[in-house]
Amino acid sequence: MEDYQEILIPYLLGDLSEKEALQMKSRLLVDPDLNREFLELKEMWDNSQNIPIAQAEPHASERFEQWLVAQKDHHSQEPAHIIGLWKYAAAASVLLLLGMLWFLGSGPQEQIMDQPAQTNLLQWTAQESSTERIKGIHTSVREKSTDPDIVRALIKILQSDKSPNVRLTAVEAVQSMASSEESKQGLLKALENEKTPVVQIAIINALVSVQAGNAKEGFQELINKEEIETYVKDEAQLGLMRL
Amino acid sequence: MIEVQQGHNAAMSELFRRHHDRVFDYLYKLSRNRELSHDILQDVFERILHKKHTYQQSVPFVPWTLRIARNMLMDHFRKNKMKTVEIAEWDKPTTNMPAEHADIHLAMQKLRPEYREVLTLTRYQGMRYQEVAQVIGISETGVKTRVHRAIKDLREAYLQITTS
Repeated sequence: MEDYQEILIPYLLGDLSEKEALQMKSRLLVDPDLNREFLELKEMWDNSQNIPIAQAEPHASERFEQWLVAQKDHHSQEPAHIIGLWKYAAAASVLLLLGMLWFLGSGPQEQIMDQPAQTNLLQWTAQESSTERIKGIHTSVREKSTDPDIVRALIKILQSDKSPNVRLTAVEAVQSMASSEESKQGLLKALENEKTPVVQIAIINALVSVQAGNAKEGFQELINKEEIETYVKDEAQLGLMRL
Repeated sequence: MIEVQQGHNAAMSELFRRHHDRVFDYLYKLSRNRELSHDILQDVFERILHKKHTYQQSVPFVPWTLRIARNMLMDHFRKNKMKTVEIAEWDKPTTNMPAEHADIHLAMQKLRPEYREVLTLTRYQGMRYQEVAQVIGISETGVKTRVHRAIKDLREAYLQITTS
């Protein structure tokens, strides 16, 4: 052991091997400067034990107990709640049926009219300036907020644009639009290839907000990858818990 | 926790009673904000009950709970765009504290949050490196190195305070 000063802390904590600890002990006996330094360190460390443990206020327990009671009451009322949900489900089904009838009735003319939306967005986002590309995403999404072609174009941007800011805007845009299976799959695919932590986190949050149950495997893969930042893994872990 | 998983909510009261101070201390030493720590403490135990099915018996309860607490606190910081922890009431040592304890108290506050975190877990929560690794999601060796660096910085901060 060449530099005894460097291993004072591991020695204090008992983190050295038995052999190293014995060497250190012998050194302290013959080196008064090192020994003084060790004693000062030990004194500070002993003092640090005296920082008081913070205790929660008594109302924290009362608050939690009240919440538990409320949970119990809530569960005892659950059958009525479920019946209530069925009413909403039935109403939603009727609306869905009406929507489908309207869509079928509107015919190919409507679809043709909508076709350029994707092309427009891609033209916007072919601009050199990332500010212009972001502006293009905002404009297209505002104008065609439910168009599946726009979602496809956004996913394409998310997977290929060189600017993290543009990709972030694309994630937010996809998240704000309909949570179709296609958009979920697109986000998942983008997460696999994304390298920028801030965009990775945005995609994780978007997948959680659209409740993409099939994202669990993708999140787990991310957690297992060594090269992924810890705080991104934390976000993925949190996402797993929320899904 | 096994009883909670089996649907006995009374066991949840017992878990809260046993562990809430420990979770609170961890949150408070990291955030230095009592009100925020109380709010997240409540959220942590609510989440434990809601996500009881995700608990695996092979994982010790305390590191698992502290990991949830950590994630929720980090989530709060991110949502509120808090890149650094604001210094609140924690920077004032208790008036009846002996001078040498007050000095170390101040020195602790000068540490980087990740160093304060590992010292809180090892020194005040009495956790082993392996358990700390489970809480913060780094390797056991990584924890050990971080603890050594934290004490080195603590000593420097302490010397600065006591010699000024």
